[in-house]
Amino acid sequence: MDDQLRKRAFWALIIFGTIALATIAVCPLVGGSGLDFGKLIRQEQPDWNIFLQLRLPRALLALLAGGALAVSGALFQALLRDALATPSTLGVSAAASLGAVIAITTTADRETSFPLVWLYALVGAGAVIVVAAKLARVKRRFSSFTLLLTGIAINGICSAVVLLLHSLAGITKSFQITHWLMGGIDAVEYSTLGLLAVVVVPVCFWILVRARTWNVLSYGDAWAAGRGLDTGSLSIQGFIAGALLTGTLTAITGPIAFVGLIVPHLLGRLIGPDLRVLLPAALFGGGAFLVVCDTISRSVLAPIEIPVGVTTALLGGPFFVWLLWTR
Amino acid sequence: MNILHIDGLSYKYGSTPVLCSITATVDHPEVVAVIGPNGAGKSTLINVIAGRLQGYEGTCCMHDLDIRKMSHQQLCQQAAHVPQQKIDEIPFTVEEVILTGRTPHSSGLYETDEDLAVLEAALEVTRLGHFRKRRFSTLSGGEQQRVLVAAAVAQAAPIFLLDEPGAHLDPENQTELWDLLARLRDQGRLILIVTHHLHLAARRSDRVWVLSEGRLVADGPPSDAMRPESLEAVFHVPFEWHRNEQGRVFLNYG
Repeated sequence: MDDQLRKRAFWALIIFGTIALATIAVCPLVGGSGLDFGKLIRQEQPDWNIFLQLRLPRALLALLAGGALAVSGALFQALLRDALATPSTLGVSAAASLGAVIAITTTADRETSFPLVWLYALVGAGAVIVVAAKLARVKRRFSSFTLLLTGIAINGICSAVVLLLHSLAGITKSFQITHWLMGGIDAVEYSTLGLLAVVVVPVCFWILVRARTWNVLSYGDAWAAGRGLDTGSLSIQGFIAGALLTGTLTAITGPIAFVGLIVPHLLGRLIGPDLRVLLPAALFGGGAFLVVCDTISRSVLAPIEIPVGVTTALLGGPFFVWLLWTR
Repeated sequence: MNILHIDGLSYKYGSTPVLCSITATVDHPEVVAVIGPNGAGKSTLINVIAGRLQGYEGTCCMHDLDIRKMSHQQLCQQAAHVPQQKIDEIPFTVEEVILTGRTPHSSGLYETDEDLAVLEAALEVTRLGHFRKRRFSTLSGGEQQRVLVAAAVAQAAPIFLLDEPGAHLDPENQTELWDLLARLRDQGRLILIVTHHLHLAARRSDRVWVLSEGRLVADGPPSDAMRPESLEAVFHVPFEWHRNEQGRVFLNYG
């Protein structure tokens, strides 16, 4: 049985890794104003530059973002034992958004730089985790129900403050906030991508190699504690890892809804609930999913671009309802 | 060497005392039924022994080692706890549930060959082989309970802590559960089982702990610890022992 499991994990990695690579290879070439392949091969301008400086970094950002969102979604679903849990449900995304919006409104520059937004978003996400951890200490036990209710409250508070800041902001900042809140994959500098990878790759790796532990935690605190796991500490570690991923991505892309929900669920139905198989599949499957969504977003109404958050929400919203229906 | 030694164990929820200076020793494998009215402290006692509650007074030793001096993982190698809370809506198969019992022993990403061998043994002793690929959530309450006990078996701990495992079982499943406990005892394990099925405790256990308002008011073989007058004092309903023509003894109450 265990050999089967190893094989399944291996093949999940290979298959979804290949799919992700394929989307990275193909998606930058399609949509918008089509690229001339002859010019591409000869590395002639402007097509070569469009490919190298716009399309490729954009696809890579989508890959990293989608993978990290799907992994943190699957992790939160296991930790909270709730099929509908994601970093958004817990209020982590909302708090990261609030942090980012504060960063955008309080800086004098016309364009707010990435490291600052990142810092604020991380502070926001971190604050939620601290609140959750404090709550767990006061309540003695880490109840997922309490956390989800807290998440609803945090979501409400954060969006209220975002609206407040929005209404107070001048027209330039207001536009910037709106644009950012729409959630989008934009072409970014390779240095930003590198920085993102330095955070996302090790954190995802850390989560993936602990898949067996997350499996047992998903049985509930009472059962997991009886199997020798320090449930309180492990849950907090998991939440911090998820918050780190969510905060980092939110700072760059803005909130992108439903990827953390759809991808783990669809893959779970396909390949089963064992996180040792599901997490690697979600990492690459989620990445590929967002690359495709982003390609759709910039292609269907070209030259107008739809924010990718809109595409994922339009795909994810109905899926969410269907999930509730069939649960 | 004592398998389990509890000395002066007291516990309070806030300012409410739940366990008052409980002392007991078990030095050989047996099935110990922990009985008492609701709120007598049965689950609290089990939870303290299982390492789930801190801040208690007194000591609890397993094989002469204080559980305060053990890591949580070491404690779980000594004692397998099947909690009262139901595990429902988990998407895993019977095999996968049983293998969670190996967590205190192997920390790698995948189960070892030894884990898989233990899984087979656990399936064997609990007679669950034909269910192994079934999804846990599709089983009946009685079958689920047996799977959880099988996971505790896979944990390979010398002490079993079962908190009302038979609460929702029909008579056949009840009987099977107690048969299983007897087999486990014969393999050399100590079993503490919290139960409200007094008649089964009376007939099938080796030893009974009667808890009342946090105190251990009786400790001994059923014939001794479950005398009608002492049970009446604890449960406030009439009890009687009844012997049929074949000489089998029954406990009646109510």
